[in-house]
Amino acid sequence: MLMQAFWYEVMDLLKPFDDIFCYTSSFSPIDSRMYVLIAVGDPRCSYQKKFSPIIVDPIIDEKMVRLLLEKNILNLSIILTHEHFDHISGVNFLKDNFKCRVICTKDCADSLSNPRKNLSYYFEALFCMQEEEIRNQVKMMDIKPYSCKADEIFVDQVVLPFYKHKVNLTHTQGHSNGSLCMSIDNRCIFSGDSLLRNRTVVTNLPGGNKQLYNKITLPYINSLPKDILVYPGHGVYYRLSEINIDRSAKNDK
Amino acid sequence: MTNNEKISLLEEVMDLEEGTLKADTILSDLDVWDSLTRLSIIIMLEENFGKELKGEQIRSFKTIDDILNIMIR
Repeated sequence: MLMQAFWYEVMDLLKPFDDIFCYTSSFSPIDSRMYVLIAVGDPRCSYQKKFSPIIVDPIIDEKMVRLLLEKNILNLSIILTHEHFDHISGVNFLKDNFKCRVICTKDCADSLSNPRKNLSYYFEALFCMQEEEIRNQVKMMDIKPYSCKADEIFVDQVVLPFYKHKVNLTHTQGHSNGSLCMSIDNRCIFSGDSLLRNRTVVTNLPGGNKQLYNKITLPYINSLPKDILVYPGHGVYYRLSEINIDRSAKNDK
Repeated sequence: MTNNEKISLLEEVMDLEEGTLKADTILSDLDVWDSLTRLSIIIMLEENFGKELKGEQIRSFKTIDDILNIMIR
């Protein structure tokens, strides 16, 4: 049980599960969230080979890499909730350090290699009206036009095994062409930017589509159990019942 | 492209109802005038008019008319 004890020290349990650990870190200054999920099963079996950790929306985080390498984790499954740069910025970094398979929708994959479509080309412009301190911080980051690739793509829906659990990936257009939501046993969901707390979903970026969001994604979200926990692309997790999801997509400040 | 057509395009990019914008509309009065809307406009100007805008130019925009003046091929 030494392995499990280690994860207890450095990670929190992914609510509501008692056998999945989650490490979260944030891409400042936009607060996009990366989630690292480790299924801790029977330490007598080599679970690392069978069920490699899942990384949702990777960012560059050297502490996380050290943590995984210390435990001899060599393989990762990377799930991209959508193609926007703040949710894919760590893909190449992880590929440099691990054997990875990057999984996303076909529409997402079509945009990953184009810096104008994944919006990395415009990243600095996003902060042009912020205070000088933030603009300088972003300038210091020196974000270059970014390009990466997917390894496995799907359309509509796919189910992946993850230790004793089922990971369901569903194509949920609207915020972007390639957006998906990832649920685990319908008990928690990683929503990317398709559902955020206290903010209406943005659908007017290139690739966004309010009609598709209302037609496809909102019904999907409404079909979820109301007590499902939502791990969003920005901000902290919350229970679906805490927010009003029946709203049409329009911008908020 | 006429000014009316340009305003319609801006309303579409900003996800506003037709007729919301006028040339003298003050940008800071619009609820939608946030970082993501500005990004959408930057991309629209680049894709439709071949204009690459710098941050200082965006910061100088005060009214819809300031944007319309950039929307020239």
